Amino acid sequence: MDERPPQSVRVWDLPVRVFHWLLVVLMTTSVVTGLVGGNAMVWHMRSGYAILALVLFRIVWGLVGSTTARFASFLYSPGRVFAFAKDLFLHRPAHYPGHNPLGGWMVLVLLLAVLFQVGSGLFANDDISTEGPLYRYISKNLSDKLTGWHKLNIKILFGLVALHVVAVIYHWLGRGENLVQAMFTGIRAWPSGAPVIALRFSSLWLALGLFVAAAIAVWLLVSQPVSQPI
Amino acid sequence: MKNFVKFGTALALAAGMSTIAYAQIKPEDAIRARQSIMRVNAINFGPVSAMAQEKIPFNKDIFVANALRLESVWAMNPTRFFVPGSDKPVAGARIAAFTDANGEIWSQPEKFKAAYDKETQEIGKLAAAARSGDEKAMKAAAGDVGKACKACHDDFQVKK
Repeated sequence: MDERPPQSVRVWDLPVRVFHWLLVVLMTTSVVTGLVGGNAMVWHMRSGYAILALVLFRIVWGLVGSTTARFASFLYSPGRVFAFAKDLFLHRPAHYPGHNPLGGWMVLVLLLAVLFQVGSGLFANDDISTEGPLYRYISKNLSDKLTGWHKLNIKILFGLVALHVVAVIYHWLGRGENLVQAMFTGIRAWPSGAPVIALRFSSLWLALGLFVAAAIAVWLLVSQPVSQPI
Repeated sequence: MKNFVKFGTALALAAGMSTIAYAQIKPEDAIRARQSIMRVNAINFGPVSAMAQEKIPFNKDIFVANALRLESVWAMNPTRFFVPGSDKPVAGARIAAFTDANGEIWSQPEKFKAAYDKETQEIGKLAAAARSGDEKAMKAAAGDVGKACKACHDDFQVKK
């Protein structure tokens, strides 16, 4: 074990941090409005559109963003995942500036699950007065099926989020790594003995441009004509 | 006199038969009846709810017309048509080939009635708000109707 004081390393860029905490807020909004129903459903839909824009942005940022945001940097081979799991199990030190090999795959699974949740919601109907903006393009039968999956997948998401939080608590209490603080500040403690890996950070203007593009794409997708009341 | 008795008997018989006919409504007709009522409810609630959520511009006349029609259609009481034997579609039936009714409608009749009464109360409030002409009250009441719809669906519709 290294006895020298740890140094600080910037690991998360601003877009990744804003994405993460906005997603927390919006997913909470979606769950609450979905459970409340009634007039809150209009906010359930808006919250879903915002999540879709965020996730689309995050996927593109995973291709062109900063080093620690890129899928290519945090999706490790099965061998590396297994080796890391072994390190955890044997309480051996293992330092990764960004997502570790287990966490990286978890990020992909979470993103896909959230994408499926908003994607199914676009086609869902509640047999009351709320229909997703793309409901008009599919049969009621298929919409009912997707609505069922929307309701099933939220339970899967609850499980995944719980696992995510438990893992963060484990890293904090079991391994002394405060990942929550790092996700707020972008900076995490780095043992001075561990090798420093060069990280590249992408332009914030690029991030802003990509997010605006994602938001416009979602807006075009969900702006469907409404039928005239009689 | 004889004719009068004959007529009276026929009348009594007809009345009796019609009661029997109602009590013995075919499951497929019962399923179709309740689904028809619910569909028309949804047609009337759609614009009301969309205006309440400001998805479409508020139009008082259309709101009031739909809210009052909803009250009338709901007064037909769709819960009367959850008759025994209508928990599943009739095998091979061309009409009413599906039902989303959950078995708890029959196993928990009191809870089902409470859900129906709650909706009746909320729809009554919506109609009252519509008659009062208070836009804010109308919109809020529409939200409460939607919540009562959801509460009953959550408990008594099959999981899709």
